[in-house]
Amino acid sequence: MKRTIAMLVALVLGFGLAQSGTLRVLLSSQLSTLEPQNTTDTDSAAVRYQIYNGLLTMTASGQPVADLAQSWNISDDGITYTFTLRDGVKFHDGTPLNAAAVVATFNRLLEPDRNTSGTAYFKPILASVEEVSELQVRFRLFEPFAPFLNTLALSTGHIMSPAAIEQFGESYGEHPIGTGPYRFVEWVRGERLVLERFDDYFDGPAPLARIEYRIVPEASTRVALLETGEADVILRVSPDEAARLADNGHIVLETTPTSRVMFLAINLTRAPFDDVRVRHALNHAVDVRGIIDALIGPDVAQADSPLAPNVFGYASIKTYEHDEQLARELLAEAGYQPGDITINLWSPNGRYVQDATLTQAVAQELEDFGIHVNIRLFGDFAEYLVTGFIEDRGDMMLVGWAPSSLEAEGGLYQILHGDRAGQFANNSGYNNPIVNRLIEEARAETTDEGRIAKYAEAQEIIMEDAPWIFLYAQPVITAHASNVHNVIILPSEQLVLRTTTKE
Amino acid sequence: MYVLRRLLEAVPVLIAVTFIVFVSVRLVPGDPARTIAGPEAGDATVEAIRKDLGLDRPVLAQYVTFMARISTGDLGNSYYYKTPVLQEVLRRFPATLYLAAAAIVISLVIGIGIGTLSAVMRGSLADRGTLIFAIAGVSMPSFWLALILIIVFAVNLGWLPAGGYGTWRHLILPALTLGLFGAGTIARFTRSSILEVLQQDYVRTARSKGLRFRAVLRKHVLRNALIPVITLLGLQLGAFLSRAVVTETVFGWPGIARVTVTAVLDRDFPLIQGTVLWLALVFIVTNLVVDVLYSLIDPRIRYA
Repeated sequence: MKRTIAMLVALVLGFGLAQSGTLRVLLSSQLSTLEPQNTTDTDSAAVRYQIYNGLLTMTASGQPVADLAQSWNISDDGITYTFTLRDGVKFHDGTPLNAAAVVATFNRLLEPDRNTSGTAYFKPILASVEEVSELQVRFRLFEPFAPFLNTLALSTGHIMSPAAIEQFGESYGEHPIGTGPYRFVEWVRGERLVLERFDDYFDGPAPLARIEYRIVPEASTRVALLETGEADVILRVSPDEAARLADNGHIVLETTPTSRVMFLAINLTRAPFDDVRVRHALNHAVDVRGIIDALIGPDVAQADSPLAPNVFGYASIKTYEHDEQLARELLAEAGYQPGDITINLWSPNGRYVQDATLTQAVAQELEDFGIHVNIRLFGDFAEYLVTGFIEDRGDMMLVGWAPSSLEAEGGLYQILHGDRAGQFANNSGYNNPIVNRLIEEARAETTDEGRIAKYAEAQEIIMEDAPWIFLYAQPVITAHASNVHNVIILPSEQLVLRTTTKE
Repeated sequence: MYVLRRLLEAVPVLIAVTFIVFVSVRLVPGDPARTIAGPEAGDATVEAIRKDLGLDRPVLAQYVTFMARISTGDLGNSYYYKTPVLQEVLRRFPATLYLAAAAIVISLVIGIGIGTLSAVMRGSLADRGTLIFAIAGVSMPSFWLALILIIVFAVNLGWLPAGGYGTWRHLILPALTLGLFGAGTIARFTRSSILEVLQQDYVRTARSKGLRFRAVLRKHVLRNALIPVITLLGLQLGAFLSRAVVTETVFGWPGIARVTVTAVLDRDFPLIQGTVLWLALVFIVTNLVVDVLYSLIDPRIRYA
């Protein structure tokens, strides 16, 4: 009797209903669309990665590996890539995966009138896609582009069902059909999204029966929902929330290094920052190690390269040690006292983990050293982008750059190549002809060794030129219930639930 | 006839709203094309998207196109969701309406109850307590109140869900957060309104002819005292909507207030225009309903 009452109470209160087999994931922002070719938000990627596959995918260590493609062959000139597809793969609507599906997907991306986040990756490099046989497809590039395999592994390259493209057209995003381990069931805007196991998945059915995503924008509410057992997984937990959850025996915290480098871009177009000695002095004046220990954690390394360690092509060059004496000498050599310098320091507030706190900590260090700092915080990132990158760049700006392709081209070109000087996102205005040439030459290298050597040389020069105050690569913290296992976060911050289980 | 005239009068107001919103979203720094293209896209893509959206044209020309479309019921497609704006607005509005209705009921019940009590017991400890409650209700940030409610009722006591949408249990905490804010103002307003009515001659007359105080309160005092309270409710709707932004965000409530704010942050021009226009319409209609309610409560008020 007592047990029956207890069970009834539990039922009424909604406990005990914790359906094992249903994983409840909380997302922070509104999902834009589930169409792979036209979206930029990380949270919709947390859904799309379960629905779709690409020809390639990334491993947890950031290597592109076979997914729908079984094998591939790159021509000696680096122009044509021929892929052999897995046999017997089906889309959720029953359409077979074949060369025609791959061609339809990429031709859609290459349509002249289509301009999206997805086309931005492929149109500049991809000339054409053609069917060779039922299971063979050939990509032709405009010119050699060594990071092409990484680019294909982006979620933008997820393969779409040709039948569904035909049927749904531009509303594909509301009827997402992929080949992935989970198929789309329901999406109630702003509230929740439900996926269900796809039993015909080519790699065998996934362990979980259902995934339920809910959208909860407020971080403390997400933490509360995890604490009360109303959710199983929460993403991008801030270090102070993690501290609150650390003592909870039912919750596991996992820290994943990502490809996102945090740095303060120094405006090289203005005196005295055009003098490399001043930039070296700034790097030595700030106790980056101390800031990392206080804000992020002692396990996180101080940046020794403009690239994160898990990005292909990364080379460990050097760190700028905290040395105020040396900083003073360098400034004096350049003809300055710390008090001569005023820095207008700009930062987003709420875009990156603890961004405003980080900026304030750096400003404090610079003030202690004797430099005047004016901080301006931008709560609105859209405003930060235009004001900061286009209109006027201040003297220093906090930027976090995450190459989603997880290789050096994505990590260097847009933020450090002279083509981009003064534009988004090379906000230092950095333009070193040798670095430019090395980045370009690396694209045409056909061997990994050759590429790595070019990138290493470029990183060496960049560290010496010091267009930034180099900070660290940002880790992300994921929290989940202790009965959940195998929650994978890629270095590109993407959530992969293919092998996730729940007891 | 009166209702029809009032509705027609609303048309120029709505047109002015479209113009102000249309121009002001374009004056705020921020580039929707860049937001759509994503951080890693090159300038060529951004430029092409800007052209696709028609944002390269003069603002007035864009406005003319926009108004021409509106007259056919087309509010355009959301940049972020890639779906028709009207569809998004209609999908999200019911949740906000549901929350606002519950909050209004809570604020009326608590506000009128406490307000009446404190008027009747004027100068007592209970009266002063009401004042404190009212000030607290109005000045407590919704964000803080919401988190306190979550920590107490969801995390510590485990009685109610910490957030989400679906059942009446999900409604309680957000509705309280929003309702307590309104209750404070309504309580103070009710109190002063009742005190004023209590001074009236007809109340003294009613009392002196031997009616019991309760009957006087119900039949004579409250009926007259509550008219200004109802006006207040209509005016407070604006405050409710702005507070709903925070409430919906903290509780993960899928309403329209939150969508409006994220649309601003995403520079989703069509969606901002659509939601603001819709909310303006709601505001106008609510105040019209309030005015009609007037004449029902107080037969002396008649509109020609």
